[in-house]
Amino acid sequence: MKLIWKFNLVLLGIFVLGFLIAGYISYRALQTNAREEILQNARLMMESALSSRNYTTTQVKPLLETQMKYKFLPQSVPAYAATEQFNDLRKKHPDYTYKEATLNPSNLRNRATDWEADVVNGFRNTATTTETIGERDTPSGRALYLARPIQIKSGACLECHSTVDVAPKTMVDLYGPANGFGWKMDEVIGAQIVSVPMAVPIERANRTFTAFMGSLALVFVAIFVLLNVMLYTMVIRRVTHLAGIADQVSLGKMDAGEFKTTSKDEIGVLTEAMGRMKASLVQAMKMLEG
Amino acid sequence: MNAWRAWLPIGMTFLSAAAHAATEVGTVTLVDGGARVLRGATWYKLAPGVRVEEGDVFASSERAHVQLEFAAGTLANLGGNGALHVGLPEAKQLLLVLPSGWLKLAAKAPGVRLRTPALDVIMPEAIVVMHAQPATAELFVESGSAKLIPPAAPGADAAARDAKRGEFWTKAAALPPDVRTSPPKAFVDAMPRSFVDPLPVLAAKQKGTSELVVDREITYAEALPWLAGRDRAAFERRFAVRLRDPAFRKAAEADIARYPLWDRQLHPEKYAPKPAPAQ
Repeated sequence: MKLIWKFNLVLLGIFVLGFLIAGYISYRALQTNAREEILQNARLMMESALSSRNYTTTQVKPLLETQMKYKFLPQSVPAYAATEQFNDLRKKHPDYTYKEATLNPSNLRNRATDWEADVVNGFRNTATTTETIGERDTPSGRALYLARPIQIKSGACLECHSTVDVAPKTMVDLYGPANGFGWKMDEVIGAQIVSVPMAVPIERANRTFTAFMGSLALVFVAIFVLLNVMLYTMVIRRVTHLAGIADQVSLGKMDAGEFKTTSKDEIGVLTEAMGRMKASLVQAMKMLEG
Repeated sequence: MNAWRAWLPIGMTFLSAAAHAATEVGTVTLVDGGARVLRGATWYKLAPGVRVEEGDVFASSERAHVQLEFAAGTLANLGGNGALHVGLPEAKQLLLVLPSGWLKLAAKAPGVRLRTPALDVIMPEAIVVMHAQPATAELFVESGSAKLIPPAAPGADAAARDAKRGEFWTKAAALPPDVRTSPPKAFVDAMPRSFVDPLPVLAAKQKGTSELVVDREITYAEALPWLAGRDRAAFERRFAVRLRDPAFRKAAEADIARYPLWDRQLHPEKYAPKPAPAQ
């Protein structure tokens, strides 16, 4: 096997191995980053929803207390405020969702669906769990969800949700006496669930991966070609030339050519040495003939 | 025959002066839209800073609001084409008469007695919204409690009903008061929008007082509801000064049998001692 083939086989092996290792590492890193980005978005949205809740509780609700005696205003309910704020956001980002999934809500739009009820029951069964992250398929693609428990920690919640008798009459008039009552202090009654589409970040990560691997392949090909050109011009062509003359000389054809070189590299030194060897051989042959 | 006519202006002036000697009981702190006050028999344009006197009658147009703040801290906000008469205190309680219109009242001790054609309400400390019409009254007790007394009941306290926080009461003529646990949608929808919020306390921000600017004298048609009301005798004395106006006098003459005081002034000959029959 020729030297160039051996060299290229080794080089190709190294390149393929490097390509695979780089691909694996970069793919994992990009996917992890994409998931982190999704999670970060979800957390940001969760915090935004919590801020809406707190703002409603501390600033909006006190202002509406008198009005609530005439007509129940859902705008005073933290869950309603957070949901409505998110619904407004969804006008521009329809794939993002936020829901205060509740097992027994006053407003039936907050009733937990099957998978949401499983999440809520998970929190109810494990009191120490403060956050759950998962993935699920949706009609618009795969989505990551972040869930946190809604636990009754304030007596203010029970003013509306303990019993029908205690609840504001205007609220009962609006939502009826059948739902949203019987909540207890410290009970996990639902979960805040933010759902963020995974398609866009994952697609972005995949595009980045493709671009990176394509670039890496181009670099490898360029290095491969360059190394081959250099190997051919600097080593293989000169060694082949030397081997040809040496082969002729070994057959007694002293006029096959001269070992000439101007290079001072190792092949140049070898060429000069072979030139001197040829000269010594010619002189020795002349002495034997003389 | 004409001697009484010479004395009539003097008598009217005296009555008018007596009417103006009333006590100041509060301040007008908010005037939003068309509103005026009847003092004596003259309508005045209303502005924030005007002192409220006993006997004043405030009137607001359809979308107007007038807020009165009384000495004890009681707030009264009149709206929705209403009229409110500040009467003489009864049992140290401020007396407000609401023949028609919407009133949000935040009563402070010693309390307020609110009279409407269909219902009297006594409240030591409470916040209520009252809608009065000639034959019906609707009341929502926003906070505190109140005592409801149908005016026709003999011995007021005997027929009293207690109205508690959150209750909505209606009283139609000839029917007993009816209660609900929350205000109906029709009531809330018809109520002036600002009544759903707490009444703002504005007296401390009021800078100085405003002088009244005369608008015009009261007409007979405007006086008629007061002359037909429960305080008809007082208003008959109060509006006697307007008999100088030929148009007013002519209109009053048509119903003169309803006004014994005016009849005595306008037709003294009817009340002169009859000469003894000749022996």
